[in-house]
Amino acid sequence: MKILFGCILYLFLSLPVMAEKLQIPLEKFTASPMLTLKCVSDKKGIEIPISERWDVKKVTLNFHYVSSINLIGELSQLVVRINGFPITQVKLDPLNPEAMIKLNVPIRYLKPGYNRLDFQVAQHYLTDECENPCAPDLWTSISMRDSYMQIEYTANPVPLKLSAITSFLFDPKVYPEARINIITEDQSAESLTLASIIASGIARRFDYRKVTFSVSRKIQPGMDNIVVGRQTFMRQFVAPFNFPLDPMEGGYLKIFPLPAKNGLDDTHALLAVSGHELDHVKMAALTFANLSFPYPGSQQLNAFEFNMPKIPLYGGRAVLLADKTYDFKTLNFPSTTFSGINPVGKELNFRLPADFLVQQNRSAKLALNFAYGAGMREDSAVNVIVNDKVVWAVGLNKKEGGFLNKYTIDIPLYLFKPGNNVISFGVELHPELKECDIALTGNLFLSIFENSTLTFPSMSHRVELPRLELFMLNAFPFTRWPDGHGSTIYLTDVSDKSISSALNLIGLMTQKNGFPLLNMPITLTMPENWQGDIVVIGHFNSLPAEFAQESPLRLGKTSRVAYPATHGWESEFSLAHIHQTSSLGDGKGLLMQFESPYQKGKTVMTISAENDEDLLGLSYVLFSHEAESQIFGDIALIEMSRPEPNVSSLEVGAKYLTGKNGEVSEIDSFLHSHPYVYYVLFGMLILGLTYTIYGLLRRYRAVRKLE
Amino acid sequence: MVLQKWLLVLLFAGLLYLLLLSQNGFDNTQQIILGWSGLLLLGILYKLQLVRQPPWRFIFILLSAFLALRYILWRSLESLVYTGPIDFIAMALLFLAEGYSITILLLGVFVNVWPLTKRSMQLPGNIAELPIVDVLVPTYNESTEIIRTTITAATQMEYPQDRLRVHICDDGGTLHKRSQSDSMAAAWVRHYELRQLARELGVNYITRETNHRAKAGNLNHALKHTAGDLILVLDCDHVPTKNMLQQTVGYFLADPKLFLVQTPHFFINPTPVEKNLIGIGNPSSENDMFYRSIHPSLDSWNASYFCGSAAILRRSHLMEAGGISIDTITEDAETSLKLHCKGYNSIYVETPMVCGLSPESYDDYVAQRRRWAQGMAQMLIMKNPLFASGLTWYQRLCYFNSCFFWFFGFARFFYFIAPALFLVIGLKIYHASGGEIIAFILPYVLSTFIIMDFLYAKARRPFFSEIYESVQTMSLTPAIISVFLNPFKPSFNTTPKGQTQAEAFLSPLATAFLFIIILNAVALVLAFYKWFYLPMLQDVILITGAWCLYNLYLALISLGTFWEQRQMRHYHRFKVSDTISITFPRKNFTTEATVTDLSLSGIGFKVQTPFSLSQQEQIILDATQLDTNKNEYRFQARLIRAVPQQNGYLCGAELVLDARNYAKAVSLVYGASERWENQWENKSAAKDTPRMLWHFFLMGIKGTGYSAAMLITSATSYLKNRGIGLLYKSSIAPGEHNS
Repeated sequence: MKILFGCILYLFLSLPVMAEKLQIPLEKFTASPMLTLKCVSDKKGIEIPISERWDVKKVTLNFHYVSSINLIGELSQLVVRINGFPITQVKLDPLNPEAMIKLNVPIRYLKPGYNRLDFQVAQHYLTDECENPCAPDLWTSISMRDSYMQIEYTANPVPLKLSAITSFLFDPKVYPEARINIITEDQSAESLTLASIIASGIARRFDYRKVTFSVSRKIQPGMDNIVVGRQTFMRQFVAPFNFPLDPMEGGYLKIFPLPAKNGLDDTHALLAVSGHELDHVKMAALTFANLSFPYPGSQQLNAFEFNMPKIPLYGGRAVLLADKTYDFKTLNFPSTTFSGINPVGKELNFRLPADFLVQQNRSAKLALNFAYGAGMREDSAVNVIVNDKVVWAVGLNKKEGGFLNKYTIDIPLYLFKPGNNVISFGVELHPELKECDIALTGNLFLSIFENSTLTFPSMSHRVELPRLELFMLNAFPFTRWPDGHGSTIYLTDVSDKSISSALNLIGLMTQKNGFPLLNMPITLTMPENWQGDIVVIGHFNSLPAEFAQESPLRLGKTSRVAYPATHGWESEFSLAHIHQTSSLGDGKGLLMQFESPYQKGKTVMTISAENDEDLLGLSYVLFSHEAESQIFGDIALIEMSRPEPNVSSLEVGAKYLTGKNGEVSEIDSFLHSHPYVYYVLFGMLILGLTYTIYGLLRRYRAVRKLE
Repeated sequence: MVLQKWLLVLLFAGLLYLLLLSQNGFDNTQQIILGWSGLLLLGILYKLQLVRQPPWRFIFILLSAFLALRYILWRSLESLVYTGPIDFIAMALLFLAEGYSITILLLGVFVNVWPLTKRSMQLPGNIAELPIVDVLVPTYNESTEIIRTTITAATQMEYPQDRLRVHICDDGGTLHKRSQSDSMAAAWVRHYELRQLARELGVNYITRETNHRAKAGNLNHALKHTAGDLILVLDCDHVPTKNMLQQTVGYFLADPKLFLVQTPHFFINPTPVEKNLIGIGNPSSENDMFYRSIHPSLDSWNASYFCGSAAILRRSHLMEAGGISIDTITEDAETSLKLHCKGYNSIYVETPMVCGLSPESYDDYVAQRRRWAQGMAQMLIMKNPLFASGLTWYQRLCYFNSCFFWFFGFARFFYFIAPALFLVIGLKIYHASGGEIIAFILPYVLSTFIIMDFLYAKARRPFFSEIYESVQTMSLTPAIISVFLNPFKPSFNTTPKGQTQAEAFLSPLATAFLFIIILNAVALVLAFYKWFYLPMLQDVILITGAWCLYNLYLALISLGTFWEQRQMRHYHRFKVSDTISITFPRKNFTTEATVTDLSLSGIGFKVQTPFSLSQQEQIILDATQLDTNKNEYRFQARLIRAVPQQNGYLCGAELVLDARNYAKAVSLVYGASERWENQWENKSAAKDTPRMLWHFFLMGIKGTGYSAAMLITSATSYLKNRGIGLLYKSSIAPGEHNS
């Protein structure tokens, strides 16, 4: 009895200690800070991620809303649903139009994965049927910024199956960020390259969720650890924990619970990536990076052969390839029905290559297959909106409804941009109402079918660099080949923190591109005559002279620093240059991009800071929205201030041209950078031709005695 | 020389490389800078007299070629977008039409790179050295009056008479014609008349058994019956000046390999297009452009070719080639091609030394052009000069240019309908953005106007080439197609000369332009509508809309030119401003008068007299001072009209000519080549292009209404004849009964 009592008391006391508590603003789950519900009836929602690693104990939703003071309280209400189940109802009282509601979300309605949280309103400002169903008075707004969700959970034990790699361990639904520790056999370039493959594979699984890596020689508690190395090292490493390792043939992967001070931490894993020789380890790393299907269910595997499919150039995540027709289903746009008076629009999101050259006279072809209901008013329409610009409206004006097959819209390419693009469908469905008719809305629908298609014409690849914003977009130009082929990372200083910085950067690049960087080696020696693109990571003062001289700051004994001197328009200024001896200083990081001294059209990007600490901090900061939105040009100075970094970007260095696969001839490149030379050459050629033709014709006419 | 050639190739390759470089590497702003700076430079150079002459001329030409190449490169690489099979066909046809235009433009630039200025060559003093010249005047159905004038002038040419033999080569009185029941009577009359004329003028009359191979056969037959060293071929309406042989024969003595000296065809009467402008302006004709600009350029490349008349050929070389060629219906050009292939030379003397008659009506005008077009197309197919052995590369290009030019009907027709294909039917034929319009299309289009004016300003008015081409488009296109279907089918048709026209009317040929006008007007309205309805396509709508507007303007002007004006004169008057002496026997008063116009039958002049003049009054004209050799020219004449003016009278008088005076009159009117040169210069100097275009535009609007009415009338009567108008008939039947 005493034992039982003791156990119960232990559990009672320990539960609050073990449970984690998260408070997440709802704006983290949506791009819009405000969710506005309009018309007599409307429903909008967001997706709440619940990680499989969590055993959710309690969820509390706090939401703040403001409603129109013209609403009739008795007839207006707000319903909150989780996965379709109503969990609360609120009267929209015009006398108290603003309120903060706190409610417990029944956890039985939640499931691991994404959970739909919907806000639905019924709103009225008149009591008779003469009400305009979409009057401007009918609105309720929920502030995503002020609303938040509190989640209390305990961690689930990691299943000791390799299939856990696929969905359990590296789950993008964890919040707020994931941390992974990687242990390498040594700090040689080969080992670090293997670590980079693993880091890239992990980052890809985390999708857009921030993941930071640390590198150490021993296990870091409280996070998943990956240990990478050859068989001998691996056996030595796991021996103290008495973890058995089977004989290794080919690449070897095995999952263990994480050893902890007091035994084992079964909520985190230790993953062994090994093999007899380095090639085998690499095969294991590649296998690890590509396990995307919940197989195998065993604790270990031996991999003997690894075959990658053919990877297309520019084939990153959600990137549309030219001259290829995509149906909407492929583009994550299944058949969708819009219904009711105020249907919510839907978006088609995709990416275009970062060096996509917009040819103004070309068009993308959107072929829509859709059906709509009968008896709608003639001004019902579906608007096609490309990157926030309405480009086409399709009238849904047949009384008897319709089914349209291959309704083709040519969208000029200049409406698209490199990187992320959105085609959204805004639907206006209006009932055929006479004054004071009862609004029946069952016939108001439009279905866009998933076999509708989008085709982009052949596109040229040509872009003027340096443009750090393209790096922040999808790690261009280092991800022309999605696996990083042709690019290398050069670490000027080797330390745990600088290696961690490099792995963080690899994670960042992977997440931006959506494909693991399996072919981007790390080097610790100067990559002289490297014919591809180079990322240099290290201390500001240790940047190789060859690169420092070419950089926008022209670092040397003295630096040539550019300062905006006079401002015209916001983005237009003239620069003053000051030669100086100075240093970057603490708490700052510097990104620079310039043309490779080894190959025309190829890029060198340096990521540097004054010390290891700042370098690591810089690698974290690059994940932030501020960095993503404010880094551009060829030089970006990032002050790692709290809570948000301060980013200053400039364009000061020489421009250069890069074409498909980064290839550009030296002459093309030179003339592009020096256009006046083009005109001088042109003039000289014309004069040369003039005198040559004159000489030839004079001789001809002399022979024919025409003079 | 070899080094220079290689240097030329290298420099051209460099220029092409720069072109490709800009195409691939320049953004739109840079392209706009490049295109417009090129155009601006072209415009500045155009204003400088310096660039009219080599070597500076070549800068201008190269710059314009660069802009044209830049455009076609952009069209080829950037603007051809596959959007569907029908779109593709229309787009490809338009691209081919543009390809044709640019090819012709570049060939024109090449041919005209350095035209020859006037040549000069005097006859040797020793008459014994002079070759014997046979003057062959082929005739078919022309009036004896016309032939008489030509033969009279031919006998008056300043050349030793024992070395000059004139022959009437009559195909209208052949044995075959005289034996056919339907032509027998007229042929016999013609036969006797021409024999009589030949006897009277002391020349030879030649006819043959059949009319085999038309003009070429006629000349070949005459060649067998003559033996002179040189042959001067004159159409029977081509009246030679007195100095013609003096100005040409010397070249044959200087160059034994010379087979041809071609001289211009000067036409005294206006073309149907020009007739509409009498009193409005004095435009140069197509003919002027050919003989004043193109042919001197062909001559510079040793590619001047026989134009059927006003040319002297060396018998020995001609016979070596088997006489006049007979495979195509442009036997003249074909003969030249054959002789050029044998390595012989040709020369063009720019001085006009014949005065001829151009077709009077549109039907005749178009028939003549159709023959030329078909003949040159035959030559391209059957004797392709690009691959003919024996020609130099530049001769190949020149001949190819001369043949290929006649395909303009296809391009022009497609240009007329292309914008409507997009605006009316919705075919996507042209893919260009606003930026590209500014960067590529405008600089190119404007540069073509500048270069055309630069090359042909001496003999061409802006827009008139477009008008002439448009007028012929509808007739030439099917004619060329028929040649492709059967190259041997076309047959030689003699161009009627000296026709008269009693009333002015709109030629039925204009009806085709009514369709073009309607099509483009509808397209223009749709462009306006689509501008607002399809905002995404505004760039293309802007191009096609502006294009429609231009088509509409051109079609209206072209339709305006189709009025057949009244033509009653047999002898065409031309303007002169000389002084003559006039005696009024009634008052025994002699005074000086200023001549305003002159023809073989009459004279116009201004005169001051102390007494009033009356119609039918006898006068005596003394035009001796008009002649540089001071030959006596005294004629009796009768006043037909005398209109009192502020300072005297504006008079018109009819010459009273007997056989002796007729020859003198021919000598006075047609004898001096300077007259025709002055006529040309007067056309060049006139600055009345806008006025003429405006006149055509108004005529076009009038003609549109007229031809629309004509069409409706024809359609109504057609429907009536088909019985479709029964309802109409029955509805008016009661009225008929009532009346």
